[in-house]
Amino acid sequence: MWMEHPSIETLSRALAALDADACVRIVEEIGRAVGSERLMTEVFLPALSQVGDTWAKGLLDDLAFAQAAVIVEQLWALAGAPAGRSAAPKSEQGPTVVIGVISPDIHDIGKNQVAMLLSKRGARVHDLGADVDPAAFATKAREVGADAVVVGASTQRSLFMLPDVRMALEQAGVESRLIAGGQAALAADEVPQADAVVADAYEALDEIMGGPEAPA
Amino acid sequence: MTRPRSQQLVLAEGLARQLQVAPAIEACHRVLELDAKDPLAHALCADLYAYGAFWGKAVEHATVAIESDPDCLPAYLPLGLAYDALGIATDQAILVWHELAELVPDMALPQALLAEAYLTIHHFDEALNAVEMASNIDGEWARPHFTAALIHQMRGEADKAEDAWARARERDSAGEDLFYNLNRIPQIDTTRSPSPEPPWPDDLQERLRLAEALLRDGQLNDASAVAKSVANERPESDRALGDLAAIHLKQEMANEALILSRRAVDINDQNLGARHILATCYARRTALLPLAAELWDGIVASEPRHAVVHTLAAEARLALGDEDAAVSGLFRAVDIDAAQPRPYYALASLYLVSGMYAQARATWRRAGALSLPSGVFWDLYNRVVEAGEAEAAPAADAAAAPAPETPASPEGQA
Repeated sequence: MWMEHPSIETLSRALAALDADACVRIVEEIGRAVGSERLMTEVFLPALSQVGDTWAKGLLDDLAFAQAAVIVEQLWALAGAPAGRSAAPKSEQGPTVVIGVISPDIHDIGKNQVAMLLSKRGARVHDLGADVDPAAFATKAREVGADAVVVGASTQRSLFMLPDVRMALEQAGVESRLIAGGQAALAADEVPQADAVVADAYEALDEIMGGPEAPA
Repeated sequence: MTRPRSQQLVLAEGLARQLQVAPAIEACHRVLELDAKDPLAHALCADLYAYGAFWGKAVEHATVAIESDPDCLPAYLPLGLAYDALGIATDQAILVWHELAELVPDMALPQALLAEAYLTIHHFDEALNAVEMASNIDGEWARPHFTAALIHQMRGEADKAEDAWARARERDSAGEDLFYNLNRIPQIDTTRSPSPEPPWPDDLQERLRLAEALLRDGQLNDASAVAKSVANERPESDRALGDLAAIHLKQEMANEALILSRRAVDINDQNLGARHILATCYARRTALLPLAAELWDGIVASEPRHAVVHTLAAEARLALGDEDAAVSGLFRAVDIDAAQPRPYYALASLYLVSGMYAQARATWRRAGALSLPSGVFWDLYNRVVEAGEAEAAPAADAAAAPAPETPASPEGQA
């Protein structure tokens, strides 16, 4: 039979007593003992439920209930759930990617989409922006140890600069994969300097992370 | 300068208000036979043609209306919508929304439309400026925040985009409506507000119905007091606790809402309204998103016909990086209710991430069209009519007033 964690009662009593120090101590101790996930599901949330019960029974007045909610706000961070609704936590294991639109080109919407998708899937993305000098890709790739360099080229003139990126990478001793995207790269019969040419953000994801199902 | 409305025009108006499109257009044309430049008749025609997506005719009539009377507010709406719908005339639409924004500075809609038009042509700074203006006018309106999210996404500003999504979702009323639907809380008669005055009903179910009516009427403190009296008498009433959670959430007291909805769900995990409020509270914290998604998935399993639950579950899945589940949920939501704008905004975001810009644009424009507040044309129309009547009243008073007693000048007599 499932047993209630003994600390639920202790924490809910401390909350109802508005004893913030005791609450912090309890949450820290349990967090250390069982980890943040079990702390949240087995102790913290059930304790909040008990506080609700105490209020419903009239054993906690409205002012005290509001003050308990303030203490709860302080405890969220300790319990591993600070405020904010952002994307799924980024992985520290994802590939490192340097991305940018090569000069002379300022069409950065496609690059932004790829950067966002990669970032959401756990890649560590270093976005150099638009109109980027070819040498800058190599400098950044060497600095961060990039696994891949993604270069957007939407105009013919910018595509002509792609060999310069390859040369800069080689001169810098960087062995990152060079992936090209953008209208001009797609329209070209072949782009021999690139290891791959991608049509959209998902293809880029496939190339870099091994498919859209790759874990974040 | 607004002219008095003719009987024919009033007839055309009546038909247009009932959306009897063909007879209304015919009636407008009868007005125009008598006065070819009647601005309100042209504005009516423009709106009716825009309703049928006859964009060229809408532009034609709206243009004549504005040329005849630049203050003819209702003509700007179909004109801007038509330019926008034509796809190649976004710059013209921008001019129209700018004009309308100047004429009705108290209305957030022109600024919101302006933001969307600027977004379409990738003028992001101007778009964000218009979003800010719209938010300043109506801080509780979700639409500008959805637009801001797309703008930031296109700029590659992931954190700002997420913040804007969160603001939009918090303001969007779909979640609140879902709570009412899941708990079968009926609509209230908006012409007669429920009274919170004691004595409250002795029967606890009846008292809860009063609390729920007060909640729907926006009398939150009274709703809270009535519902709490039930909870105090029966602390195990999951419905009372669920209602109290919804009231606290609406009062932006998210921790209290979480505490109470969690208690309600612990008492009765089949209380779908409370589960939804709990999921909403969980979803505001990244670490609790998986719990939120589970709760909404559970509601989807119990009540698969509610489009909004599919949308909420899909949004949570999207935030967790499960894009396949998100896409499937969003399309299911659209299948169930194609008139809900919210899933289209999320789909537009997914299209953007996938590099499908044209699809994204078409999708956010659809969301915008579905978010157009109903009656906005008539709001603008009524403003012009009322201004005309206010202008006409002193003139009529003057005409009806007795003649001054001072002797008329010889010139006057002549």
